[in-house]
Amino acid sequence: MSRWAELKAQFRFAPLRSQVFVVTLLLGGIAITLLSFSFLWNEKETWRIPCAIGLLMIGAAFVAWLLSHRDVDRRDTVPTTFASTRFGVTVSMDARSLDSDTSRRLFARLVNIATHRRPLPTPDGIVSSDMQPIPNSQAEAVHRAQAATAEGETRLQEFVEVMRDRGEAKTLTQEPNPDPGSSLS
Amino acid sequence: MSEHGPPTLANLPGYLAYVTPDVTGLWFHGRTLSLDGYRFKQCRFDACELQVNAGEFELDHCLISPDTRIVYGPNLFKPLQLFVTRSPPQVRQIHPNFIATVNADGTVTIK
Repeated sequence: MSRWAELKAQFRFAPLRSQVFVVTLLLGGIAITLLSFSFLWNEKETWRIPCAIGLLMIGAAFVAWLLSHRDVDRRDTVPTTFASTRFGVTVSMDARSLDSDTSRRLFARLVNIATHRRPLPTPDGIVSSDMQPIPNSQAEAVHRAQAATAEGETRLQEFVEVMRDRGEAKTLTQEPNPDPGSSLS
Repeated sequence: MSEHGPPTLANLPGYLAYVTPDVTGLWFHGRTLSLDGYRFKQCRFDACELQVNAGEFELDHCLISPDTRIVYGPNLFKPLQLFVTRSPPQVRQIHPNFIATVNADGTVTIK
């Protein structure tokens, strides 16, 4: 057995996806900055120009890295899935997308609506401006109720499609819920 | 068509209003319906059962008859119980489900 502990380490430097741009910007900035040092060494008056450009590129690379590194670090994450057998709702999303309080609150309320909204029952008519039922108006009322129910489903699906384009919601499905809640009376 | 218009990425708060359809001028008699997810305007509910579970609804100039039954989901009890703990005694003469448990040492339990 060797007296010397063996230490092996493997480092790999491989920029990924948007990080390729960041690394290119950084290396370019460093190269131009070093060029300005050679100008300075050779006492050329124009050394400030490549120096300023190089430092700007390094700064831009830092900003780009700040904006992108979190998602790159999470590139291998699996979608987060929320399932509720009680309400029959499944939500699967990419953890990278809900990165703001507004997005999280919005998504939570959307799930709340998707979970609890039920189709409207058959209405019995339409009411006049003084809230009195109008005789023989049930057919029109049924048409309105069906339109509202369909509109809700269509817009919810449309919302999900928009969020999916942003990489937020992958799926959001709703199934019938036999449990309406607890009664007080 | 809703007054809120189609969703845009620059109008995130408008999304919720957009996915909540308007229900205008309908009369329900003896029906059971869930209020969540709709915006009811000038509707009338007679002898109905209105179910509320999420609180994600709006009622605008609606008429609810005295014989209409309202069913509250369990998640709605807690904020109401908390509110009632700060209300005058006469307000506490309501349904026991809306009254928080007051312990012997004066502390309140809401579960």
